[in-house]
Parts: sequence; structure tokens; C-alpha cells
Amino acid sequence: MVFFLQQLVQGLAIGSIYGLIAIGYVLIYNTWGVLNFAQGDMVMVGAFTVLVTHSMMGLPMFLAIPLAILMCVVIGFIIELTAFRPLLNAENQRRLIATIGVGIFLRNLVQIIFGADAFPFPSIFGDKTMDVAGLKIVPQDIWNTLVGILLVVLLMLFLKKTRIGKAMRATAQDREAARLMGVNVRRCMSGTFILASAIGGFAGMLLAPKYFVIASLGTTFGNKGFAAALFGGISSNAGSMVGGVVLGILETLAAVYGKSTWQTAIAFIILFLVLVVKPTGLMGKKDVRKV
Amino acid sequence: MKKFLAVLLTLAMVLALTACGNGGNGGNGGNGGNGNGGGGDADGGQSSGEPIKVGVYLPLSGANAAVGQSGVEGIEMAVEEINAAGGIAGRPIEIIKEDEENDPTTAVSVVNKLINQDEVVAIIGSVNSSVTLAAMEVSEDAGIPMVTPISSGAAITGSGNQYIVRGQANDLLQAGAVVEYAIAKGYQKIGLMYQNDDYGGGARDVIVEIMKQNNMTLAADEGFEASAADVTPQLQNVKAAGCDCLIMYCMYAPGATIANQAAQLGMGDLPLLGGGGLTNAKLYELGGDNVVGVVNSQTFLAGADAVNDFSAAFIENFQAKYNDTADSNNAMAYDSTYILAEGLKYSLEQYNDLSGDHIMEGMKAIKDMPLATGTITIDETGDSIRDKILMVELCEGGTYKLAN
Repeated sequence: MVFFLQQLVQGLAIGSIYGLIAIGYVLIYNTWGVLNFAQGDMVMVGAFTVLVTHSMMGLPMFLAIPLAILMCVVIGFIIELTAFRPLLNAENQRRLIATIGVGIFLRNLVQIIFGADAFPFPSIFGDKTMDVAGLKIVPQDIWNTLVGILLVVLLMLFLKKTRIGKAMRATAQDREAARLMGVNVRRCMSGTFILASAIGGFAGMLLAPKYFVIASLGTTFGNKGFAAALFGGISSNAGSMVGGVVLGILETLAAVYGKSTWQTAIAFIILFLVLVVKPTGLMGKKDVRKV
Repeated sequence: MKKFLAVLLTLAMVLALTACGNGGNGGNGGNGGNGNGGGGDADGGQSSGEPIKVGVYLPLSGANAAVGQSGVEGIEMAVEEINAAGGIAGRPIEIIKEDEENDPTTAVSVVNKLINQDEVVAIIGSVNSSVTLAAMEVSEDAGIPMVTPISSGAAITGSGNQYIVRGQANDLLQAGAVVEYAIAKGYQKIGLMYQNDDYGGGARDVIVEIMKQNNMTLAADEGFEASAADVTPQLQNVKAAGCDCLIMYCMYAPGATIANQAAQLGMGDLPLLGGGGLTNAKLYELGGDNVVGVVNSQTFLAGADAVNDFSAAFIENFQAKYNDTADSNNAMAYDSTYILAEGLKYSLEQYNDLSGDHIMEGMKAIKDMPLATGTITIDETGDSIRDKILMVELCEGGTYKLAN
């Protein structure tokens, strides 16, 4: 039983990070109508910004993280301005290719600046294992999970309760109608994009102490986040978190009780099954958008 | 909508497979352009002093960039020495470098470029066994000899490719040395975690086979993706099996991940062993105290007594040139260049040409040649057979000593 619980703990820890990455996909997809394949690379950029502010500039964490998030906001804004806004009314394929291009650009830019090798990163919340009733628990993992879930709740409150949040949702629902109702659509779309970039970057900051900071980080985790987003439902913020956590747990269980080499394959098997059986995902609403 | 998502999914898969985008392998120094200034393929003899073009493809970016860079240092040092001593029959060696980004697909395209555009007579590369396996099919089709300095996957020389030579000790030797070390140490329940590709998977088969010969079986047999961030499920299985040592057959980055997460799971006392892929200064940087005490197989250790005069000179000259202690990757790349030079010399002297078949014949004729990593004989399949494999232990501060 302890053995099984331990798997759940591990799955939850990695899954909540997948969930955070997935939310970035969901936010941008709903507002911009395009899957942002650079989202994984924003995760990588986030990990590097905190590497710069903490490890290289030597700032303490409580300063390093806000500054790193600010850097992600600025980078997100630049990306939005250069690669998303000009293509707003272009065909879908072109916009999609643009996001892929942004991802490749970010990855290689980071490689040029920092080199291609991995950097170690100190733990934010402590990596000394605690023994809780036979369970080995790393504080870092608990915090990752809590922070991840808290962030999703805050995000949903923000979208539901605040004026800006409502405007963002209105924009996501129907851009034209929102504009007619006096919503500043352009600013809302910008805001959503920047929010998604910051959340992606933050996921990278949580990930950095668990793994290493490396330029190829975004490829691995971007794909997992993408799978989690589709699994949970591309139209649902809460769904993406659920999708991420379930994916994390399934991966861990598959590796322990199945064959260890299935660990990575499981994400994509899930992706296939969801697309075939329930294309809207676990918690997604049916797509009734009319042309 | 369904269709649209299906298209996206396909795209995502393609992205996942190609891993890194195309970095910049544009111009490489002054060597780009249309390459051959002289008369088509090198005809030897007539054009004395014309450089012999040798292609080098290594991971200069991507996950194994540190190893690729070590390789370049070793190769460049060897080429400088050879050219300073009069080159190959009076002709200098000219290196044309390409970045394969630790990616088999990119490797195939840069090797194609080296052969067709730069018209090199031979190629040196690469690190990851999957990369070398992909690229060596291109060079085999073109009949161009390839020397791989660092790849150890058993399949490389075991596939019947007639144009491949290896400077590294292959996994049959390395994984064998590791598991024999573990058995000699008296470990009863040996666990294995291997990165699930040509490197780790190839070693796994060797380890299983040798265990069987000793009437033993692996207590835990766990694969993982080299890019996996979370290897705790595998470690849990190792723990549940009650292993008294763990062989981690992978590169240095996942090796550090395993050591770190093992420590977090309270398995810090478990002795860790591994193959040559662990050897890298980055291992200690990423794993810190958790990797101190890791024992791995190795072909070369600058701190140990030099195996011969050639090796002693290499260690000293390397220190003087780069102001750094040579590591095994430096040494193997250096040796590989000398192995190739021997083939080039043979081909020019015996046949007065530089055809792939003659260069190969020259390399395979190498017998008991003293090199930096030991006394080497190249066998029929192109493997370098050597007197011994070292087992080294990582100490405090990231230095290595011979394991006892």
C-alpha cells in the first residue's frame, strides 16, 4: 500500500507541472484559436530566466522569481507582438507554423547564449526527503503540487470574478461580439498571451530544481503539456490541470506496474485514445462554433 | 475539428522526433563553399602538398555538446601534430567540421554534405550510438571510411558495415567489464537502469548475457527515456527488488538525475556503477555529492600511470595546449585520428591513392599500435581490441581515481 501511495505522490508531483504547462496551451488556444507550439519553449525560457536571476545574478529566491516572471512577461509580449499579432487573420496553418518557428528560434537562441549542456539548479523548497508514515516525500514535490493547484484556482477566480478576467473570457468566446460590447479585444488577447507565457515560464521555474535546466527542456515537456491539454479538454482550464495530474500518475503507474520503457509512450497513447474516443477531452465542452 | 487535431498531433509527433531544430551548420570557417579546389577526388601522387580532406561530425550543440567539444579538441590536437610532422606522405590533413546536434536525422544530412559537397576521403564521428548508426549507412553507401571515436554501441561494428572503425572500446568490452567488476565485488542482487536507445539497450543485452554465463539474473531490469525528468518509478522498482548495487547504463545527464533522485528516495547508500558514457565533468556538476563514489568503465585516465610513452606524451602535450587535464573523450578522439592517419598513410604508400577500400585495408592492418588509450589492434569488424578496460571512481571535487 505504501508502495502504491508513493507512486501516487510521485505522479502527482510531475503531473501538476504537466498541468501548468497544459494551461498555457488552453489559454492561448481559446483566445487566439491556435495551438501555441512554442509553449514548451516558454517553459524552458522560464527555467533559464530563474537560472539567470538566481544562480548567475545571485539574487535570493523571493526576488529572483518575480524578476524571472517579469522577464517571461516581456519575452511573451515580444513574441505576441512579432509572431502572433501580425498573423491574427491569416490562415490557421500559417499561424501554426509561426508558433513552431518561435519555438525553434527560442531553443536555438538559448543554445547560442548558454550552450547546449545542462545546468544544475538549487532546490527552492528543499530537497531533503521527509519520512511520512513510510512515504518518502520531497518538500519540493509537495510545494510544486500545491502551488500548481493554487495557481489554477486563482486563475479560474480571476477569469470568473474580475472585470479583466470576464473580458478575457468574452474575447475567448466570441471576439466580434466582445468588441461590439465595448471590450478592448486587442488588449485582452495580449493580456491572455502574456499570462500564458508567464504561467509557462513559472512551470519551468518549478521544474528547474527537479530536473536540470537545459535548452531541450521545452521539447520534452511541451509535448507532455500538449498531451495533458488535449486529454483534459482543450477548452477547459480546470480540465488541463486534471489532465496533467492524471497523465503524471498514469505515467508513473505504467512504469512501475507495466514495463518501465512505457513511461514516455503512455502520454502519446493517451493522446491517440482521446482523439479517437472523446475528441473534446475529459472536461471539454463540445465545439459548437459555427462558421 | 477532429481532423484538425489529428493533423496537429502528427505535427507534434514530428516535432518530438526531430527534437532540436536546425541550429546553425551554415558556414564552417572557410571550409564551406564548393569545397574541392583541386582535381576532383584526391588522386594522391601527382598533387603533392594538396590537403587531404577529412570530415568531422560531432554534437557541438544538443544534449552531448560537452562530449562533442572534447572530441574536437582531441582531433584538432592530433591533426596539428601530424601536420607539423610533415603530414601524410607530405600532404597535410584538413578538417571540415559539422554539428550533428546529437540528432540522427541531422547527422545523416551533414554526413551527406561532407561526402557530396566537401568530397572528404574519410570521416570521424560521432558520440551517441544512434547517431553514428544512422550516419554510417550514408558513408557505407558512398564507400567512405568512418572512424567513430566515442560511440560504443555493439551494433556499430556488429552490423557488417565494411567502412566503419571504432576507437572507443565497444559495449561488449565495457558493459562486460562493468558487470564483471560488480560480480567480483560480491554483489548478489544487481539492478540495471538503462537509457532506452542503441547505447543503453545494446549494453543491456550484453549485461544480461554475461549474467547468464555466471548463472545470475538481474534483480531489476528497468529502461527509461534519456530525456525523462522523473526516474523515480524505475528507482522504486530497484528498491523493491532489494538490489545491493545499481548499474546505470546511460549518459552523464540522466546518470546525475538517477543519482539525485535515488538520494531523495533514501537510496543514497546504493552503490552506483556505469559505463563510459558517465565520464564527464558535468556529471559532478549536476549530481554533486550524490555522484561521489560512482564507479564506471573507462578507456583512459590521465591521473593513472600512463600505459605507454605515447600516452604519457599525449597527457603532457594536452595539458600544455589546452591548460586542462585530458579526459577519455579527448584521448579517444585523439587516438581515432591517429588510427585514421595510419590508414591514409597505408593507402598512399601502398596504392598511391586514397580510395575508401585501401584506407580501410590500412586501418584493419593496425596491430599492437601504442596509442593514448592503450595498445590497440583493429580487428576484422573494425573494433579496437585493447589490453585492458579501466574502472574509475568519482571522488570528492569531481576528480577520478582507479577503483579498487
